[in-house]
Amino acid sequence: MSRFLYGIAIVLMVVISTSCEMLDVHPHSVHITGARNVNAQNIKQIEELCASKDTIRFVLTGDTQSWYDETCDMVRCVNSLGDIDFVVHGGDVSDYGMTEEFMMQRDIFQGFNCPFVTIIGNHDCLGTGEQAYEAIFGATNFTFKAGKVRFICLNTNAMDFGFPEDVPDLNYMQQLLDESKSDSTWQYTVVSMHVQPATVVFNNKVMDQFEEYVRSYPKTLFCTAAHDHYLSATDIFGDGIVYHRSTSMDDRTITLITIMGGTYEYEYITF
Amino acid sequence: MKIRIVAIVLFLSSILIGAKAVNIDTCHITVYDTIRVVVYDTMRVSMQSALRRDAASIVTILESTSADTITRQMGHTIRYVNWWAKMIPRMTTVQFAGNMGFASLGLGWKYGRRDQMESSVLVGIVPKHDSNRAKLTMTFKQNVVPFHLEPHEKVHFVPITLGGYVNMVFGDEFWTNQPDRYPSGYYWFSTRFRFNLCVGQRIEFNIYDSRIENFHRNVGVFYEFSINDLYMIEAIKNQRHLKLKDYLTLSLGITLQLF
Repeated sequence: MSRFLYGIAIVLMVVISTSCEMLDVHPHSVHITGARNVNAQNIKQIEELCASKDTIRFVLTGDTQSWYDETCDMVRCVNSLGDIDFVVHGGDVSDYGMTEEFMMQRDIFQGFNCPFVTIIGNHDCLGTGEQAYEAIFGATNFTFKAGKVRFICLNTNAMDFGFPEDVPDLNYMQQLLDESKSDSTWQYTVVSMHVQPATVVFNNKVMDQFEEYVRSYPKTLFCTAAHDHYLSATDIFGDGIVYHRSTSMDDRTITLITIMGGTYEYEYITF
Repeated sequence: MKIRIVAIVLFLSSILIGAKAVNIDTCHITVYDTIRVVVYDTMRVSMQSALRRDAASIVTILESTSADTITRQMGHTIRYVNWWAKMIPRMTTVQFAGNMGFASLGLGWKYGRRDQMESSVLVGIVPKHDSNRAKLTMTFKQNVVPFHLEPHEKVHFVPITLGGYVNMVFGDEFWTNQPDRYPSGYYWFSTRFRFNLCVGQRIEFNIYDSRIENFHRNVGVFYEFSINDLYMIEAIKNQRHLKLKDYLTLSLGITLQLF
């Protein structure tokens, strides 16, 4: 009798634990369900949609960390704008690096009517956060092309990794620089990151080398960042390249940027 | 090492002398009803093994010892064993999910006037999934069982169990306090420790059968809903978007009670 009971109980446990979504194994389990490699899929769409466009309109946002309600409102706001080519999320998808946060935010972002790309933020590096980010969104350094504009998205959260040599990955930047010489369709460049240079999280030892690369890409228009939870547009190095910072979701504001040929405009939209 | 062996032999033989000389069942050993079985078994086992080893010399000791001395030794031994017997874990728990690992295995203690308090220590395993490796976790759990019902003499139903547990996960990527590389107060929380509150129900069956003399007295099945500190903060901040299933965690488990 007792053996029979033990047996039934164990079988029940196994069946239920594989079928019920409320049976959370651990906040840092990196047990991913649903869409994976989201950046790559969206990049494919962006490159197809923008291939022949001269004017690119995109929304810059970020720091959605544990503001799900506001993030939902933001998605509705972006969808109501219409005629947006894509959204750039400047990082800090999650607040504590927990796997569930990444998946819930991803599911909200999938409500965008347009494609979106997500950059890794410092909070996304906590615990197993980076592993969850890589499984859901993809590589931490990536690039895509919207018409003639090359977007370079970089992991700059050096402090969370203990200021290693490859954050920001200058080899990757060099590799892209080599590529730019043979690519005639690459006319303008936008560099996106979570943490901008000259802040505490950035590896400021390589700050000047970093900016050297940013300057040397084909006609860099501007850079984008997030992280500090306030809006700003600063020419950090005094070389004419402005770093546009998006704010966090509790401020309920997004940045809309329009690139027309070699110039661009930006405006802040409150939702 | 030799001294330890001598000490153990001395301890066992002191139990043996007491156990042999006095009829265990009629002695005041029955004061602690729940631990009686353990004391009895400890003595019986050690007595049997010692007898087998050196029956002749023990009989000699017994014959040459007066009844008074034996009773005093017996009393001392019983108090000593009883004191340590309180520390023996009485429950084994297997728990699935609950933000402490896919499966956790633990030992538990029951205490309090009506055994209403339960403490357990569990070790869990988090499978690799999409991370770099599988992880071990450790959980310290405290449960309160305010009351229980007995619909049948062999069935105990616990309508509500309340409790909390602290889970820690092992691995270099987790920290208790933020590492030195961060400015002070940069991250206020620990990535290693999670503090959970839980509420659940349990049903226990008395499975003891004197014919087969099975090891366990009780087997219980339980489920529990829990929430950790960070999910609670997110739930409070996002009352529109987050649903119960987003921040509550279900876990299922089995408890086996020895005595």
